[in-house]
Amino acid sequence: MELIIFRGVRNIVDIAPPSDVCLRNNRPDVCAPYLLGVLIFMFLLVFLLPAASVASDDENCLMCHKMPGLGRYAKGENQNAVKRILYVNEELFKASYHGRLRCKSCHQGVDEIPHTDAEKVDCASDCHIQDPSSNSEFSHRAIVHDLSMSAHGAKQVKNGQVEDLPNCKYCHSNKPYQRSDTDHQESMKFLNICLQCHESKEWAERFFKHINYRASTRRSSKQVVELCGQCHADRVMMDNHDLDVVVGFNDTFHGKAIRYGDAEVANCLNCHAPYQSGFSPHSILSQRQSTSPVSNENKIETCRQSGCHTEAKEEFATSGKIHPSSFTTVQMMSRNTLNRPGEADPDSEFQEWVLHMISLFYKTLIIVVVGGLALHQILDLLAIRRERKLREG
Amino acid sequence: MQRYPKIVRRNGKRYFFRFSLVQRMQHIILFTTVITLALTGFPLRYYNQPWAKPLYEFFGGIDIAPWIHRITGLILLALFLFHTGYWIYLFFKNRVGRLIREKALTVGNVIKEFFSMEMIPNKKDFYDLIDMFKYLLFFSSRRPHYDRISWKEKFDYFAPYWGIPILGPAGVALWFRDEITQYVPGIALNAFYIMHTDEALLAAIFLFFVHWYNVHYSPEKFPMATVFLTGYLSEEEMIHEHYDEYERIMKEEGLELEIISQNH
Repeated sequence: MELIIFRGVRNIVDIAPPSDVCLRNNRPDVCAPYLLGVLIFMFLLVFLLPAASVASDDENCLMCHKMPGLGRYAKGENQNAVKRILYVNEELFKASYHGRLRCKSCHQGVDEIPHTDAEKVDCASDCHIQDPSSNSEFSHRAIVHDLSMSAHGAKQVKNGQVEDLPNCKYCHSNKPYQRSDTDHQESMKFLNICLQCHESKEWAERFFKHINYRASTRRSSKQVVELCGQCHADRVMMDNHDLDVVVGFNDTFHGKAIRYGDAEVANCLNCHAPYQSGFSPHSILSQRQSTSPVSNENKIETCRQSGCHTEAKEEFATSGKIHPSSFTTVQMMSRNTLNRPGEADPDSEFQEWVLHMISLFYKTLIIVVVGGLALHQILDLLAIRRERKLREG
Repeated sequence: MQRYPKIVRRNGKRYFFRFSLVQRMQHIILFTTVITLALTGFPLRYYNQPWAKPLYEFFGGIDIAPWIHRITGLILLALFLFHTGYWIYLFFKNRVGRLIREKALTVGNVIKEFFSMEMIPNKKDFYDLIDMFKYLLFFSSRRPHYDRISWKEKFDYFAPYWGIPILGPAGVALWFRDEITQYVPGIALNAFYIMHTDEALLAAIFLFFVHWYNVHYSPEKFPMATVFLTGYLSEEEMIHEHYDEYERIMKEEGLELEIISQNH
């Protein structure tokens, strides 16, 4: 099982040359002796070090997993070895979202050593931590259920290629929230206000961080576009699922503004899961479902959400899609959303034809006018030389 | 027009009047706005080029550059309206006024006067164009004798005069994209987008390659033709580029004996 990969691990791996060589080349045969050495060394360490060094770790997992370099090779796709880093940096783990949880809350099984009985981590399981709002055990079950019912759920996949679907970890890579150090310092000043009433600093800080982090955006618009694009811009994968490949988003004004660092402009989620209208990224629906915010019926309301095209009329959204699937000259619209890919729609085909003709007209005009005058210039240069020669000769 | 002598002498050389101060001012506003519009517009069209981001950042990035673009665009639109009013004013003052004085004010005469204006393309331009290519392609050894405005300069003039009425309204429609859908279908926004950017590309290529060749890069002009600042053209340039007008003015000023032939 892959644990949370921290930056610290990378650094440690980088400074250890033999491991670096073997990890980079992905060759278990080269690595095996090295890793074996590490394991023997750690095995000895276990007896040499006092076991009580990690007080809060009452499951004693960190006794082994605190060892930098702890890892193994597992069989991955196409018989290639996949690097599994099993080291956990305690400091970073404690500061992470799940830092208050016991390891076994997520990693169920693992009673035996080596952990042959480890079960796959299931985010829908109970966390054995109390939800203060209901006094029951906290769980991500509701979210997991939402996801399974969404366009990203296994039920929606018709040809059985469930391995392409994003799981929790695909998006929630548990990297720290994006924030600058100055932001952090400012927010920590705010913590003092909490501490005026709440006595326990540890509790107040944790609670404050929770609220503060949940309220800030996890990914920048650019990162959201990259994340969704990992699958939705992959032509082969989209073809397999009978979906449009999104190639034109970067060509739209939304895409361009995001590229130039506009934090306000719409990214994928602002239209496909607008939180203002109560949608969540976990329950994204196909545009062909009537309850989707980008269905033909709801699209205009999504465009009109506060801060966006509030004055837009019905016509604004009826002409088609925001990002084209194949037609890069047409930046804002493509065929009607009710059509399946490959199905013809006379109206949108006519519109596309008109736009294409305008585009073609300009291309021709540019080539003819500029080409003609460029030809004139070249001949003019030759004529000037000719005159000069005549005058001199 | 009386304020500008047809010919002035500086250091023993003759200079011929070409552009009045008002016209030169219009040209300066035109090229400063067009260059600014191009610099704040093309980084959006070619967002994935390496120069795009630094250029856009120079103009204040996504928060400021669009506003520079819009305000400059409004100035250019205002200039277009002013210029249209300007030539209509001159047309009525000089030509319609004369017809009234001569008691010859008929629709036919007004139309005739309109088409005899110096900026309007005419038959001579067509033959000049053919003659020019004959000369360039070695069929003839004589440059065409252009009048006051050559076909090349009419091209230069009508490029913006046709471009601004397309670029401007399309740009304003994209600016007020929400409100405009009250009057036009959403698909029109796509059409405006193509028109705005492709027309801009045409204008930019035309201005920065063709027009700038004529007035900057050409070996005869390099590094810069000065007529846009001084308003006057040298005798040599007149002979080379506007021989018909040169002859006419020399005759008008009683300098017939001093006319220099084009192939001196």
